Amino acid sequence: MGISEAILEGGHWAAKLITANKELAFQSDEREKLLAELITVNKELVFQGKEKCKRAAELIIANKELAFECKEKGKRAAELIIANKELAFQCKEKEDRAAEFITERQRRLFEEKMARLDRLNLVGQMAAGIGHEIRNPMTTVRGYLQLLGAKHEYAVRKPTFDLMISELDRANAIITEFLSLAQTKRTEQRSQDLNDLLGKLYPLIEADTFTQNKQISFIPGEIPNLELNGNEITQLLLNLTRNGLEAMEERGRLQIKSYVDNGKVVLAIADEGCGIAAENLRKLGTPFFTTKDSGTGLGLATCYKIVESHNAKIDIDSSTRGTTFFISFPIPVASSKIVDILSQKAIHPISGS
Amino acid sequence: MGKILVADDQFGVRSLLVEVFREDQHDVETAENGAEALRLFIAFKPDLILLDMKMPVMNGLEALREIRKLDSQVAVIMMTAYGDIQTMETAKDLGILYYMSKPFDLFELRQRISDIFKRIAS
Repeated sequence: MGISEAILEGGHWAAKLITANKELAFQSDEREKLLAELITVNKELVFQGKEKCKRAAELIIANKELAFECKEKGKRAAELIIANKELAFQCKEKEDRAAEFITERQRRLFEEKMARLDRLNLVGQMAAGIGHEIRNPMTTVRGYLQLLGAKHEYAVRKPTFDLMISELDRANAIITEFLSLAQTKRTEQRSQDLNDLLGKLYPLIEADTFTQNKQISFIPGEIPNLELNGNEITQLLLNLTRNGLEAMEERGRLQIKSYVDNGKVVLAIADEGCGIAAENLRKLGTPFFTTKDSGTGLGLATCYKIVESHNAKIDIDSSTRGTTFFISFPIPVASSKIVDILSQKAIHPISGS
Repeated sequence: MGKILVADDQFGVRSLLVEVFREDQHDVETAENGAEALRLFIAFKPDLILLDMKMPVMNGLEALREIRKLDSQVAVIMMTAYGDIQTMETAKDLGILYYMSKPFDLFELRQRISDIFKRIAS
């Protein structure tokens, strides 16, 4: 090979070397770039890693915080459970005490009732005798008042004699009512229809009503037979209707109803009077309590006694528009089958009633 | 007018009725108990007997029973301060014209007695 060829070749090689060198340099640059990128990425990763560690640390703290709160809540829940048990215990204590109180009260009421019955028994025995003892001298006095009051020499004082006689009659009425009140014999009751009794009395009450220029309605419902003492129920009805009529002005309406309600037979007597004052309601039925000028104060006491001897109950509804007395009678077992039928009927009311 | 026997253990009632009946021109005798009433019924032969229920020795009901054994027709009016229904029913069965609850209305009694005597006379 000649020098020129060698130079050419060398030149080729140099060119190749230069290219390769450029190539290498380029690659080297590239590598450096990559390296720099990798270093950057690495720094980035390291940074992210640090961030994650920070966050992990924060989460751990937060977790510890939550765990602590949970514990606190657990404690508080435990305290509440204890407090709740305490309250439950106190509640039970109060209930026990209330039960004792009720028992004690019931016992006291029972003893009072027995004592009262004993007294009534004694009073009942005495009452009949006393009634007799008083009525005899009363007969003498009344008779002579009538006899002397009719004589000419006392004609000018006849009104006084009449007054004396009426005062005696009033005293006698008190004895009569007291005797019926004091009687404690177990009264004879038999199975009968209350509506029948009402029906028999109705003409009497109606006549009274019309005389006073008042009105009356009688609404007998379908009711089963009850164990009743006819005389006593008659007395009860007359007393209550008389009171109802007296309470009303003219044209007032007295209403007498009978119906079944809640397993009981109810007799309702309603007037359109001015009602009973609250302070008097409490005293109703107390012997000798009356708001009437010429009342004996025994009419309602007798009613209450009659109601009691029939195992019934009196409820009173009173307002300025009027007063209603509700007397609820228990239904005897034999009659209660009839009540079932009747109450079924009530579910499908007869139209037009 | 007629003969009346008054049987009552109470002095006041007897005085009252004696005065009233004598005023009305009746012939009156009185008894203090049932036994005396029975005795006088036999001796005095009254047209009418006023008999009180509660009397000592023999009460009105027993006296009435005895009287009815002797005479089923004599007019009897029963008086009572008791108002015992049962006794009154028994007396009615034995036969009485009326019973009067004490204290009675004197004029009503007077009128009834006058009616009785009118019926007896006719």
